[in-house]
Amino acid sequence: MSSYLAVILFGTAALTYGIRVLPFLLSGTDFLPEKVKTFLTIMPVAALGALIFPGVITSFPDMPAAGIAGVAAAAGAALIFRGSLILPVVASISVSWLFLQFI
Amino acid sequence: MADSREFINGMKAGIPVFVGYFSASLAFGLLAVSSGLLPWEAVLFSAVSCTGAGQFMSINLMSQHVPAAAAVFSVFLLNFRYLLMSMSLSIRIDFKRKMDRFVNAAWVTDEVFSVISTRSGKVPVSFVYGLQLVSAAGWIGGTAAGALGSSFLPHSVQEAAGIALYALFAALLVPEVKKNTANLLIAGLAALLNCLFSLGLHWPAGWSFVAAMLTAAAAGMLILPKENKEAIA
Repeated sequence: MSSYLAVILFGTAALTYGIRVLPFLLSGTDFLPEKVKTFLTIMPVAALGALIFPGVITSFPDMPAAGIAGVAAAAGAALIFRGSLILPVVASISVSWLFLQFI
Repeated sequence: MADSREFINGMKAGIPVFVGYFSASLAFGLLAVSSGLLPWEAVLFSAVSCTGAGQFMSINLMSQHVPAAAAVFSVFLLNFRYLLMSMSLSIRIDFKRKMDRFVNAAWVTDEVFSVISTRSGKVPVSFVYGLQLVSAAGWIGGTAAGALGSSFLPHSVQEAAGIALYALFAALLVPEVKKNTANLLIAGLAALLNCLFSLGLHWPAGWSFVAAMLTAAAAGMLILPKENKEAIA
């Protein structure tokens, strides 16, 4: 392994672990004000929105519609098959594949 | 035993994450090897830092020969969101031993976070172990499969599989929106802001994500009436 790769690989791993473990070790989070707790409980929903866009558009630079259609298929499948996560994933891969192949 | 039942439940909840991860890390394995890493280096990369976008970013920066310090810092920015996720999880996971905190922290990912947060009440630590074990198997296994078997998958399927992670996010968001339509506004605002910051203003992806998430969550905190907040929690 080159030292260049080693610095990047272990450097990112160490920093990322630090980011992940720090809040678990600070016991103060149990005594956070109510406002902050509310803020933290809303966060997942906000995170999901920002995780999907614009990543889904930029992940298919040649055909952004394939990404949009794939996510729409996933959302549709999640609405119909309540609680399933596998079917939405399969539906979206199929739809994106069709878009990339035939459009 | 309640613990082993929760462990199995966690593993079951991890199956869709496994599917999404396997296809995404397959792409990582393929890309890493094609940009000059050895297969074992690609697998090691996935094993020590499951960061999804962060790993793709590292490979991308390395192939552009960006200085190592700059590459590490960019990924640090992109991964800053895990601080917020761990903060949120620290009040959701029912930790028993100090050791659990060190182990569980290694595998706080977008998907693990989403699965845990969308469950109600305190989440048993054995559930988290089951979920993380299956997720890790998918991420590391997919990397190995991609790195070793790059020639076996048709190119078109590899390309389409890039959608899997986003499909997973969408499928996790739908039940939250069903629970409370205001959640669609919050997620939509976060999506809009992230597009504006990263595509419009060209902010680094990491900061753009953090700013969009924080602003939308703050807006949600202000606009939601009290009973809705409880419904979300």
